[in-house]
Amino acid sequence: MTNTAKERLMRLRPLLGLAAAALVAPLAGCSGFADDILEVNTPDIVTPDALNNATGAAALRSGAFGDFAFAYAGDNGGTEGMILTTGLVTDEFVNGDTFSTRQEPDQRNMDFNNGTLQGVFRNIQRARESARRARLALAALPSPNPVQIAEMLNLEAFSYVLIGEAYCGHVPFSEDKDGQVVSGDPLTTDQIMDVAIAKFDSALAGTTDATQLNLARIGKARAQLNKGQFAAAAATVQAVPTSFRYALNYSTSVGRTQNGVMVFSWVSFRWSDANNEGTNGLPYHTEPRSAARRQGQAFDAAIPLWLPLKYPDRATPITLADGIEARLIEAEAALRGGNSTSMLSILNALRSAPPSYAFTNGQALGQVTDPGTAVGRENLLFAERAYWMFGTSHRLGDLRRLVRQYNRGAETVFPTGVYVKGGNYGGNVNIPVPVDEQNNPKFKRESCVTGQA
Amino acid sequence: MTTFLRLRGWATALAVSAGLLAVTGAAHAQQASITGRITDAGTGQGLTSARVLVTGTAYSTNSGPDGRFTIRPVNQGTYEVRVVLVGYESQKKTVTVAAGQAATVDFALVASPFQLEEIVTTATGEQRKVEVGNATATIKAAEVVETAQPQNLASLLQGRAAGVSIMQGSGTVGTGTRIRIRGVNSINLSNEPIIIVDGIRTDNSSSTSPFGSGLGTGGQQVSRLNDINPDDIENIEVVKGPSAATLYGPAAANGVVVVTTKKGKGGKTKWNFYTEQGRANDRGNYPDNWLWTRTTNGQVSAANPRCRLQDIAQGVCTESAAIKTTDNPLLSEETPFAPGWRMQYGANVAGGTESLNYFISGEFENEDGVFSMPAPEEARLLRQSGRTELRGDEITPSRQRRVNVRSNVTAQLSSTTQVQVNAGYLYGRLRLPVNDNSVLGTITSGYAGTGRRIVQTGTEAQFYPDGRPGWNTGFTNPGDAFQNLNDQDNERITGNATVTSRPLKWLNARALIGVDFVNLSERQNQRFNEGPNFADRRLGLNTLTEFRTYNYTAEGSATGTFQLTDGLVSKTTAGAQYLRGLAYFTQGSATQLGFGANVLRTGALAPTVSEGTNENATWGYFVEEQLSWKDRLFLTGALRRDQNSAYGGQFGAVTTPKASISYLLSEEGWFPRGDFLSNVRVRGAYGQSSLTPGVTTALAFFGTVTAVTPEGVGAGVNLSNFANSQLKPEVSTEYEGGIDLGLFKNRVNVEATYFYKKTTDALIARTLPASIGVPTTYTENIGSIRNKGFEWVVNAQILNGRDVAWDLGFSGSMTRNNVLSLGGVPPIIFNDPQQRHQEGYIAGSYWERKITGWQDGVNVGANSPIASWRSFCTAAAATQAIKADGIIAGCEVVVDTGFTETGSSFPLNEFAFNTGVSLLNNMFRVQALFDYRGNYRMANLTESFRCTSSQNCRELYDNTAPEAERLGLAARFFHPSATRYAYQEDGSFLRFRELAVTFNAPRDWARAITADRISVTLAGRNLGLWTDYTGVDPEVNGQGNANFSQRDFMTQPPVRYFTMRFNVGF
Repeated sequence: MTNTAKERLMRLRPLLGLAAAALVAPLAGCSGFADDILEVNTPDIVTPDALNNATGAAALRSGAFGDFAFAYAGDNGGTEGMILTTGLVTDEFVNGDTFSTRQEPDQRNMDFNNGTLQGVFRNIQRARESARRARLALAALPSPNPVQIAEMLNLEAFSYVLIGEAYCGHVPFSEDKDGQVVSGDPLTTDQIMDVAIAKFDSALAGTTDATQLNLARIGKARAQLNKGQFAAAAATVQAVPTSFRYALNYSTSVGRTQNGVMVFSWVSFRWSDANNEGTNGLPYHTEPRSAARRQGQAFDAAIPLWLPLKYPDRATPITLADGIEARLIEAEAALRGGNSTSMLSILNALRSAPPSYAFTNGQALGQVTDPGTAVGRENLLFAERAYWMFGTSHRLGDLRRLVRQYNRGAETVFPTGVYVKGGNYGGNVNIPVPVDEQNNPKFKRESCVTGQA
Repeated sequence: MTTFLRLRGWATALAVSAGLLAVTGAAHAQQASITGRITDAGTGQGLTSARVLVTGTAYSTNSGPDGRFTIRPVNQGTYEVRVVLVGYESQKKTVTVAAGQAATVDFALVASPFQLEEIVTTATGEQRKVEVGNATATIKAAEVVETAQPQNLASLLQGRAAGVSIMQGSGTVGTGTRIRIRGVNSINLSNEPIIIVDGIRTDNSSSTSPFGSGLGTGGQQVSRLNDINPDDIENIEVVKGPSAATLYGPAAANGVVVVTTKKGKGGKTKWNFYTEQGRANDRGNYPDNWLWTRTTNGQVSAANPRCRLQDIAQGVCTESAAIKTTDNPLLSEETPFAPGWRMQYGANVAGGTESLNYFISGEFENEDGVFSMPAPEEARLLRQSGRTELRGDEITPSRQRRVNVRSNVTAQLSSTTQVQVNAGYLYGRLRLPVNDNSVLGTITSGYAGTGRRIVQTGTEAQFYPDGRPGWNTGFTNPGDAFQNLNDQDNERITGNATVTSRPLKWLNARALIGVDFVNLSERQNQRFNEGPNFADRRLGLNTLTEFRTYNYTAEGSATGTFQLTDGLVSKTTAGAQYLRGLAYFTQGSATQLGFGANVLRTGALAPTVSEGTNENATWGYFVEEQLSWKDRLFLTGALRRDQNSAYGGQFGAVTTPKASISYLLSEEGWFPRGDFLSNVRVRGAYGQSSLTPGVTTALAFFGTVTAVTPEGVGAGVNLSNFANSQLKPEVSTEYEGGIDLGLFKNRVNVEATYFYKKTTDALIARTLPASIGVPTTYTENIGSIRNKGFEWVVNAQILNGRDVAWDLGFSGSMTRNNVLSLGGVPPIIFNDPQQRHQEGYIAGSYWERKITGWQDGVNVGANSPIASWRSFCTAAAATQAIKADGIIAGCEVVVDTGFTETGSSFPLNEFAFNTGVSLLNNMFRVQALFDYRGNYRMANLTESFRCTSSQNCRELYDNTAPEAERLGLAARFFHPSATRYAYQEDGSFLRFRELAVTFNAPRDWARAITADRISVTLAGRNLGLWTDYTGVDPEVNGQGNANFSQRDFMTQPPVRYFTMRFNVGF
């Protein structure tokens, strides 16, 4: 070897050494080394495989309760629920906030791009899915608890009822199938109630627990009422005692467990109880069952703040279904059956001896008399329903039924005319399915008609 | 087990680093050396810190304080020695070294204002700029700090690097900044660059932490970038894009800010003392609040008290002088603004011997923001509380106080091995006021107040002791607002140890380990019976949050340099890097604390607690090969491969390549080099870098929630995320090309660069149908974004005399951004919603329905197809308002039915102009910086909100207000479309950013106090603003440091500073 060649080789030797060094790291990557040093802790999350047991199913059930209660009432001031939103659309509440997205439902001028309404819709749909997921997990246990399964079926079914009463007649229900999203077919209001009835029937067939049976009966009857099946609805609730009450519990614990109806009014001043809102509204303030107290101005400093005495505390439970509703369903069936005397009798029986759980603001309720006309009797019945079930997300379904089943014009039952914050009321009679649903190829925006009851 | 694995990982990573060092082998037996002295050719004085490089070898060193240098040991042979120093032309000489002998070679450098051969820091170590195929911005921080007095690191960067956009959120002291380099790369992930300090990754959060903040500021956030003390920085290099950032590893696709702190230099110990004193002023020109009061029989209508132009048009009320009032609480006698005081006291010492150098510094800084309790409010609160004086935190709700300490030590362990240990410690206490999107905000309340002051009985807060009416604010009086406390305490330790070794002629090795630790304690507090009266706040509330973040870096690399043939030099680097980021938080919160109590446990409601963990780890390795031909043509190629804990289970690793070419044309013999054209370099680069998904984005998981079941309160779970096992990093690919010119004997330097950058596999959060409930999105690698643009830097030394020197600089960039694909996902709409990510358009741009005109007396809006959801133009409402009366009614406005892009939300064009004049041998130095941002829009939500919610803007009442404003309002408030078009304003502005005058005292003056030098600098910042924007300032963001969301919403504008800095060196 010549000196020159040797020098060249010497020059290349380091290159080879470096190339070898460069190969060390990739080889290390193949030996599990990388897996070791890339391991991280994720204590904040629960993976799906951790839920395939009794403890996991119980956690899913608790989560379902939490999601439903949150979707129903909202939380401690950040997110409103179905009660507050439907209450704005109707004559129960007025918007005391500065957010235009909360003014839209109050003014019955809702945009499907409304971000606030997006959250409300997603939350009630999550409640439905959480109940379904928990039901499936409970059913998959070696020794399933039929009462808990019925309980989840009832929550799931009530989600359908609440959605059907509030939203337009073109609502999809998508599902999580093994981690994949299956877009749902849009359902009409009637179809939604059919699904709810089927789920209530499953609950009725699956348990002997009185509480769950009565809850399912009232829920089923409410869905039947929405379908115009008045007599069947009355028959469904016949066995429900007036003393029965199923309420969702709230607490003073973390915000999500608090009674959002109370917080949004008493604490954050963003919702105010309405009174004779938009010409057609009822005089709630002077009615014991929906009594309110004046306290300065609302958050927007523009409208007076009226606080609902029915919900004075963050932990005040909210009724989902009770015996009063069962009797009112019977009263409506009587009215539809031409027996106004029976209807009056039922209404007065409730008024003269309100169940212990009923909120009457400590006042006695006098008897009501026959208004003497068909329209008057309908008004009386729906007013009684409005007062007894104030702040429980029944009113929007009722106003829509007045239009749909009693041939009332929307502008004769919904708030109308000049809106208190400027402009006029719009023509919405239901809430639009939000814009995000347009990611479901089966959903057709034009089929979601907000002016149709 | 996990701990064991982690330790094992660390041990292995270190072992790899050590292994790379282990090839150092035995010290060379022959102790020959190259020695010499480097002097200024003009003065003959020794030049310190010149870089001495031996071509084709690993030999290198720096010159000492008298210009002397020694490289030892050196093999015998003939070498080409090159000397590089900023401000001088580089020079090379040949020297022959005999065995065991010292060869001497001296250099006399000729001053040259600009040259291509300065040393820059790259991922593989130091290189000459000429060898790098990318455009790199270098900021000589030490010089800037002494002459321009930036308040923080962000203001140090501002206007000093082409293509680097510094967007401050507000003028509130301590609040943060967004940095965008060559546009935005990602829809879903952060667009902030990574920050490297002395080789280690540091926390670059543009919010408090990965978990958000425990503070309720209304919008503003804190940038951890600004924890770094500008006085400790020697220089900053901005690595602009993926083509240059490849070897920095994951998350470098947004660019890299490489910070090098000051180091000691051998020779005489140098002490430096300085103080800075100054004041800050709010310069906001806040608008008047208007109110024309609607009266009935002389009484104000409580239900609907306003008489707006629309009401006049409808005949509801009539205009009369008696009903007109205006108020401007922010500029009234009760203004919440007062000058803030800024002070800094610092000292540092640098020195050392041949074997040990050190730099030690300490600094105390205090800056009071421009908010202060108005005297009438103070009197009111004292009367109400019965106290004799208010607490300091009530008087001054905006303050930043910091203590910085740094110690950098370099030890020469042997002639070939050096260890450097750097450690920085920061203690900071920040108190932030509330503004922006909060009813507790002072500016918010001033903007939203009614146009007159009303004494309301029963609400004492509206009264002052002298009986005058109070603010009658939109929400909260300043006195109450200032009783709402937001404090953040910050302890930060950044430290690293680096070992470099040159065991062989051809081999350099380097190992580094470091940690950046941030410990934050936040407290949001309102005492019982104090503060804003919203919800149950006056019952007392307390939220305590503790954050801890750790960023660990361990890396090792080895570089072999060989002279392959005459003129051909090879440099090969191989290395590995391990990064681990850990973040934790715990939070406790309680309300209704009760009288006298101010701690969590006294809350009447059960205190709530929460916690979070966020861990991420990266393992990567790389190899780079650089070939240089005759020191004029440089070719570089590299590959890096990374694995990350956040990648989906089915995705392995990401490989990112880079390649670059740099060709110094003017070194060729055939090149017509002359006085006009002194230097020409062409360069080009290609490269990729990645961005890492969120730590749990790839996983299916449930979150825990508290729920009330029939059995009581307990824990439950609900679904939070769907899995994506295919999830992988976003990859940005960049091509850039450019030319560097040295003109007129290098007195004019021009750099021009074109870049094209494309992000593929961009993470897009596909919105799921609302009917699935939650989760709302599913993240997939389906998007693509493009940035392309042009950058330039022109520096010129117009005069270079001893008595007068004048330099000019003009830099800028023009960036064009485009969302190429969202993977079929519909436009992503956000922020009010005014902004969109939409295919074919600028990421995060503003969209609206354009106003095309109006016709007095003609109902052109009633038939709008979007009228169905607004009722203003229903027949009944319209009929009353549609008159040819000169008043713009909503239904007289013509608005497009479709949305169009109105403009970018971030500046696409940026220019900076700076100039400096030195007089009398630099005894006086005057310099100025002008900063222009253009081609973007700003959502003026402040005015939109005032007009529609507060209903106190002028155009709502006054028909002599500019027509454009009345038209915009009518379209926003009274037209069916409710379009915000008029409020998405051109945000372009030119700001007189800095003016500084420095006086360097004659040496005799300094000697009189036994000092070496004395200097005094007077500086002003934010001195002028030219803009068509009608809001208070276009350079704000009410959304803080949000990735894309941007709006002006009740935000404190930038403040004006006047400061004086006094330096004395011994």
